[in-house]
Amino acid sequence: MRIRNAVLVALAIGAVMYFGLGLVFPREDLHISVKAEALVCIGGEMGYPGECKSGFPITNSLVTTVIVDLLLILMIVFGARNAQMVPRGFQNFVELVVGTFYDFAVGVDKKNVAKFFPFAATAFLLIILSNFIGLMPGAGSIGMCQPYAKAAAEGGEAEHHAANYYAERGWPLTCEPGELLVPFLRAPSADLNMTLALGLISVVLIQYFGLKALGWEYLVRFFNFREGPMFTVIGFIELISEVIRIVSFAFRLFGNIFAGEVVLVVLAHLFPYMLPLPFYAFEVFVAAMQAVIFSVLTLVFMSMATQAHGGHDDAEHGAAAH
Amino acid sequence: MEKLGINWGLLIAQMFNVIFLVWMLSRFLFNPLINLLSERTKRVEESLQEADKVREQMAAQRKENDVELAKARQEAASVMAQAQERARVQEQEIINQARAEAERIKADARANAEQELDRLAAEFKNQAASLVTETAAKVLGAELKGNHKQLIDESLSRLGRNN
Repeated sequence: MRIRNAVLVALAIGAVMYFGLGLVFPREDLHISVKAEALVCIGGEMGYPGECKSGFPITNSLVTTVIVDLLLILMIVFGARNAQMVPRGFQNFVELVVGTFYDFAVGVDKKNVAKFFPFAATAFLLIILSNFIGLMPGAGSIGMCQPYAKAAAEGGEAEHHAANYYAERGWPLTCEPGELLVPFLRAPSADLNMTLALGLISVVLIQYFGLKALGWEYLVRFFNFREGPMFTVIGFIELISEVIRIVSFAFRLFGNIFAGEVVLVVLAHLFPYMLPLPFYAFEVFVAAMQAVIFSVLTLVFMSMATQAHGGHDDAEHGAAAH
Repeated sequence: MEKLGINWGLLIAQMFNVIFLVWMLSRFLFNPLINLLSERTKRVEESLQEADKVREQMAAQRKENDVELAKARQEAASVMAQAQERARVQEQEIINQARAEAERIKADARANAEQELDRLAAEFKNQAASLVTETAAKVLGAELKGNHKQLIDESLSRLGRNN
């Protein structure tokens, strides 16, 4: 009974907030972009908001990438530049992060840890910082207004965006009618360019370490004509799966982070009071989890690539289950 | 590709960024920190071993001290016992000496007394002789002149016997 009453009261409060506050603060139009939007086009012209007709686009995810780089530089400056034998303050934290991940990498492959660790740890730090910046309040909601009049002239979606409640009433910090908000910050991991770059480098490094450790013997797992036609086919499938890894690395990260942002935006759009909170907490978890998954998978694939042909199949399937 | 926002320029920029980060982080963050961590591990292990060694040394030292202390205590006890023994002997000696002294003093006193007595007796004997002679002379007159010597001796010996 008590639980039922509590639920009823919560629903009543929710309904009052939804209808009452909804009148005062009507919702803005939902705007979701799969692409990272361009803020400025270098040597080119803006087209539809967030896109460059020509020239090099400085996208919001590129801006965030630079911020992540700066954060990492700050981490070096305050955490490792004057590293003391007896750690103090921020050095403790940096040591904890690097040391924990290093111990884990040693657990994965003790022999080759010195080769595998730099990229895997860089990926970990880069992804986790990217994801967390994307979750920060303001990322995705504070930005510049770009007109879509030109696009409308070319038969774009101008009609659809015309009814902007805030804009029509001249609210502060809102775009004029005929303009679209392009956020300044966007999680780099919610931009396929960044995840694809990471995936490409990861897979190239995996092949490089495999070739370096096993020599031409490494290629036997892809072009196996010694053990009969069955293994030739399996080798071909392995070759395809190696290429697919680029895509799976890139889209796993992009999909998780972008989907998380979409979920939060949609929930905030539907019912912005309290409802997004548990999802926000879940997205924080996902943000950390994806960084771990990417770096650990990289470590495991690198370790598998450097091991001789026999007996690597089981590990492959085990790791691919992620 | 276009719909997903993949742009070759951005892709290459991101790849350069990743390569730059790998270089920068491994040069300035990972390598120094991992060296530091392993160095610290080594040092901690060393100092723990050192501490164990010191503890062992201390335990050995304490055992040695205990042995030494027990020995010293034993020695002290034996010294004390010896001293007591010697003291007892000395005490006995002193008592004996004192007793002997007392004996001697007593003996001396007795000897003196006897000597005095003898002297007194001798003196008395002398005086008595003359007294008897006088008294007898007074009583008997000159009668005894002839053999008084014999008489005197007789009476004296009787006196001595009575004494």
